[in-house]
Amino acid sequence: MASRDEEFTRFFNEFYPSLCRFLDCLLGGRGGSATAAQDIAQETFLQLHRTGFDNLPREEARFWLFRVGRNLCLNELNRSRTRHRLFDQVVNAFRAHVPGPEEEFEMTERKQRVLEMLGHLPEGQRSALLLREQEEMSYREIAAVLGVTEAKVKVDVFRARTSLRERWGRRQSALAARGQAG
Amino acid sequence: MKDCNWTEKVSLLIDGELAAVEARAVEQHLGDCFACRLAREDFLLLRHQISTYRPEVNLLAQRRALGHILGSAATARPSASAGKWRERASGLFVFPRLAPALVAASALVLVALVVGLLMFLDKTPNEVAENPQPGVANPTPDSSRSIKQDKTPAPAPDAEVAKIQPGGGQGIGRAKSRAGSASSNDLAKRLQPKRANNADIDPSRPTLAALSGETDDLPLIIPPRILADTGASDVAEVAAFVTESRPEADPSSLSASRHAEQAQQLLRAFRNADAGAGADLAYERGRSQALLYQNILLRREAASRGNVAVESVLGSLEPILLDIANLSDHPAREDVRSINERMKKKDIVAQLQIAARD
Repeated sequence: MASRDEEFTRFFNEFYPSLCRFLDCLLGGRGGSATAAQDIAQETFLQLHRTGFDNLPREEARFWLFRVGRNLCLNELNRSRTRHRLFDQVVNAFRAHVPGPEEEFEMTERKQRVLEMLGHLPEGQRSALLLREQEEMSYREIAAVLGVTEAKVKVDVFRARTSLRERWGRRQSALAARGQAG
Repeated sequence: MKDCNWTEKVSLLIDGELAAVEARAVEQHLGDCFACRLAREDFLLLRHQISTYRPEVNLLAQRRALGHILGSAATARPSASAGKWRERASGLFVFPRLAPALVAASALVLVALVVGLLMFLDKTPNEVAENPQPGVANPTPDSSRSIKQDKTPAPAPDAEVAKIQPGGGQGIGRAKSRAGSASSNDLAKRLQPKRANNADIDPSRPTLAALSGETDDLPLIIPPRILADTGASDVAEVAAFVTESRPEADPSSLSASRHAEQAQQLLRAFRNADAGAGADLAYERGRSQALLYQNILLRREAASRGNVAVESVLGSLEPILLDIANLSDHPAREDVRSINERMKKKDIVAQLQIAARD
């Protein structure tokens, strides 16, 4: 029992940060997403611990973790969208503060600017790209996690990159134009 | 600029998903096609942005989550539905769902009580008679508080420490921001998880336990990946590593000559590491990835300034860095040899040596 817990603890310590990061990015890196990501990561590990960590090979457990974490994350996204739809309307109606150009410029300079752009990608593309760039999974491994074909992963990763590149280029051009005008 | 038809293959190339023959063809195409070279650079820069994103590593939350999982698994019962409802109900009070709200509400009630008590004491005639203040007609709560504090015995040093931000510990990142301009050694001392004697505690330096508000004796666990990345063996070394390595994180602070020096060291290490098949080149691979992004930025900067010499050297270096970065941790001997041959053919180490001197 002790060795089982020790083994699980090692596995947890190795993959908890990367799962949190993946889920955080999947949630769009918005305010509060880090906390939600930690909640979901904890729930995922809890399920893994209860449903048979012992029976899975180590690498398979890793895929299982990202697969179930993503599914839980998608459920959370659907729930929060429904929950916040009305709330956002109310908040927007009463919001007096509109970010000025300087504030907006600062925001774009922040580390999270790519994450914000990631939020505009379709979920499948976003997941595929994150697993590739952050977890360094091969297309075959990504396909196993997402439950799709390798060909789809190949297309999704490429489309995600192209889309981010275009968006990035537009943003840089807009910033340059704003700089010249200022 | 309009994309070339080969852009998708460039994407596959940087992912190492092309067969050797096809990869060579794309490499050759990259030599001729400016649009594809630009696409490769943009893809690599995006990769850098995404892969270097690190949400705040909250070791305490991580430890708490693990404790919760192991604890709840130990008390889990087979009766499914009852257990589920009980878990949901108890889950409401588990950090971080309602716990912060409860703490905040408790703090508010406590503050209200203290203020009320102070105001009540202000109005008592005894207090005024004992502490006459001729210049102040209506003493403020703050002044009366100072009077009260003079009367109460001074708290013990450990109690002072425990007062600092209960429950506000957010791991290394938050502790670092509080550290201000303190040196890495100071920071390391603060993050030591050991329980020090009261006499050793400097009240101005909150311990990790004080920051977390926790008193249990669970060991502080550092994820092995962090230890592997930093080469540290405990929290103090991780903190020192983070503090020391921070200035290097900003590519704009690197000069081309410093970059050339670093690249030269890497290539020498790579050349000397060719001991046999399956040699461990994980370090060289990781270093090469980091240098690759710097290289792209510096080469672009050199091009925009019209510095042809630097641009040319960095341009020769880039495919070699890319090849090393794309190697597996235990690459085939042939792959390593082919990179070494290219290095020799281009005489890149000598070029870098000259660039580093300039």
